[in-house]
Amino acid sequence: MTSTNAIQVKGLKKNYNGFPAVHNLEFTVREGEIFSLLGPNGAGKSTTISMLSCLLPPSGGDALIAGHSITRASGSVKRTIGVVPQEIALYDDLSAHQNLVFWGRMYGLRGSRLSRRVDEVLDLTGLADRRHDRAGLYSGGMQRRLNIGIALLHEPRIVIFDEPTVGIDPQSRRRILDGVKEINARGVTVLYTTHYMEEAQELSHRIAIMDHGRLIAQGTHNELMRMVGGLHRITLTLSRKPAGLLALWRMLAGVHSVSEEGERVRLLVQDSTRVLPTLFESAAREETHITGMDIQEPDLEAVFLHLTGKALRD
Amino acid sequence: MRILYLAMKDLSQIIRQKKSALFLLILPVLFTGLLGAVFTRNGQEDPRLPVALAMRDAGALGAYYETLLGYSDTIHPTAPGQTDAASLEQLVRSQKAAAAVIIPEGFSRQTLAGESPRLTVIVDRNAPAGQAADRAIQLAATRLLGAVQTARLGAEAHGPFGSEAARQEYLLASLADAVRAWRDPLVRVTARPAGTGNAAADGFAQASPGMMVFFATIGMITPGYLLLAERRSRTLARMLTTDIRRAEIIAGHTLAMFVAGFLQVILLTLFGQAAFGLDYWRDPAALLLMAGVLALWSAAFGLLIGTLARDENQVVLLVMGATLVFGFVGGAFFPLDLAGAAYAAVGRMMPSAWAIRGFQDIILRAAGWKTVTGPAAILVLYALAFYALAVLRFQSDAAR
Ligand SMILES: Nc1ncnc2c1ncn2[C@@H]1O[C@H](COP(=O)(O)OP(=O)(O)O)[C@@H](O)[C@H]1O
Ligand SMILES: [Mg+2]
Repeated sequence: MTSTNAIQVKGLKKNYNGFPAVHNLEFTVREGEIFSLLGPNGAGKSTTISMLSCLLPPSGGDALIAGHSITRASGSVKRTIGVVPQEIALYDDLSAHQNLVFWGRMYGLRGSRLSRRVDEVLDLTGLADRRHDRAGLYSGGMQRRLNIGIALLHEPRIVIFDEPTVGIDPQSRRRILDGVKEINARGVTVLYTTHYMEEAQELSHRIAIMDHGRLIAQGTHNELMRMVGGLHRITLTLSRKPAGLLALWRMLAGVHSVSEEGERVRLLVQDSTRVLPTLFESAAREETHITGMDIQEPDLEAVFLHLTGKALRD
Repeated sequence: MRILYLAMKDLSQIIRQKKSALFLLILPVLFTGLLGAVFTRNGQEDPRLPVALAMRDAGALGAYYETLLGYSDTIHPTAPGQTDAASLEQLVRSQKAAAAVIIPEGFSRQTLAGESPRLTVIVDRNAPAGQAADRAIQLAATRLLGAVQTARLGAEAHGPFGSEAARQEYLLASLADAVRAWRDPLVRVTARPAGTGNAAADGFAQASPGMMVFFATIGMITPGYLLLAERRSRTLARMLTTDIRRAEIIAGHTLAMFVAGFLQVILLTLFGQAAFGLDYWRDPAALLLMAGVLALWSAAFGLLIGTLARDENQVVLLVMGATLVFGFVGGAFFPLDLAGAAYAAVGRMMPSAWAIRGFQDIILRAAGWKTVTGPAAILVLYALAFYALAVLRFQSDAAR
């Protein structure tokens, strides 16, 4: 890959009165990707985001954002990024439109560019027909969307999301996740923090797992899965069990083991999507029906469990 | 530019809050009306000090003297039941009259003849009211004698008269002119007593500036609350993720508070002028200067409250607590002259006392802008002190 780095974090540290909230963080976000920081509450995600958005001076280390140092060129950093804070940060006595106009001005937008961007963001967030209602009257999901929309007004190249889906209904969450993908598809680099492994898994090109202020693992989803063996568990229920069929399956590439468990057959495979069609085809040739199937993918939960000995959400 | 947009946003939020109109305008108007009425006591009654006048002269000059006494802002002549010296003395001693004056028989004749007859003045010179009355009595006498002198000089210049009657007639005519002129003098000398009594003379001259200053800080409840809300809702943190500088944020909020406070003072002075005839706007430069520094001080105060308070209740508590101290100690509810010496001495150090003094200089003493630069400068110093504290507090808070 020849892509350049959007964010390069170099030994970033933050102590709160001696308590190390973030410790020697090292990671790199490439231009154009969605990079997730995954970790339980208190892992230090928000502290990291605050340092990257120049709200909080680091206790040590540095980070480059589009090549600008957060400690020495905060002005350039701030102009490059859009930050979606974890808390809903808007004026709830003003309407969505008034909020967007105000924040657009704070980002330095004026005149026709301002009104064009306000309209675009209202469309993007689906708030266009409620634009003149007070933001305080919106549902939690709508407020979250407006909270995100504000950070996109000035068309930043890099957008940092801090747990944007906390405490909202599944429908709004779906909308937000799709929105993040859409923004990324337009070429925006995304740094996304969450404590939901499904979100990190669905969105990210690469993931860093954080706990107690430290990065404990990072890589693509597949790379992380390999840490826990990366084997899918497939459990099949068959109409009958011809001996030749099971023997054939044991010889397939990507299949690690085949075992009989009463009515069922359990296979450990490297990649279920690649193996499954072959399993179905060969069963059909032996005139055997697969009447039930259960696939267990290894997940980030398992990785976290593997690395820390505790569950991600507790 | 961003400072301006930030201030505009703040102002539109301030206007949206129903409380703003209440604290900035409605309550001060109500309180001024109530308090002013209390201090004026009885609208019908003459607020000036009563001076018993025993008239033993039958001529014109005695009457002119009574007229001149009546023009005074400080005293008004009354006719006592008994005019013997002992009764008059009793009146003064019992404080039913601030002083008594006996105009002797033949006062007119002797004066016109160029002699100087003696007025008898009975007064307690140890009482502030007595001193004030005494000064007013002397002033009227000086004016009368001055008028007589002028008339005689005029008569001399006029040349010989056909008869003594014609001369007398001429003298009296020019005297009448001179006395009438004192009714609306070019230069007004007002003798204000240093003690009690005068505050009651115009309750609204106390209540209007007093309540204006009192509500200048109370008016900061909504702006202070909005600043607190901004800190708490993390909109302030969000603002700091744009490349606006902290100084610009502070300036924007201060500007909004200043504009709100300034408009409040302007509206309240216009109201005071229209409703109570207080001449705030005689010298617009003086008024604008005082309005500006009062708004500056209250804006700095609002900024300090907004950065200190941790929740909504604290905003109200801090504003009300400080305002009550400024108000009661600083003389917003009653003139500091009425208070004990120690109380008044402490009170006169309050920024509120200086603000009230500046506005009273304007409405009571027709002060121009140069005269109010003193009180204005002290208010600016207080504003700077509050502002510095607020900025320190804001810097450490925003770095959280
Ligand atoms: N202002 C602060 N002062 C002291 N400790 C803090 C402060 N902010 C966060 N912390 C602590 O730092 C740790 C990391 O917090 P945070 O970055 O908010 O984690 P996350 O966003 O991953 O939930 C937590 O233990 C939290 O209690
Ligand atoms: Mg967090």
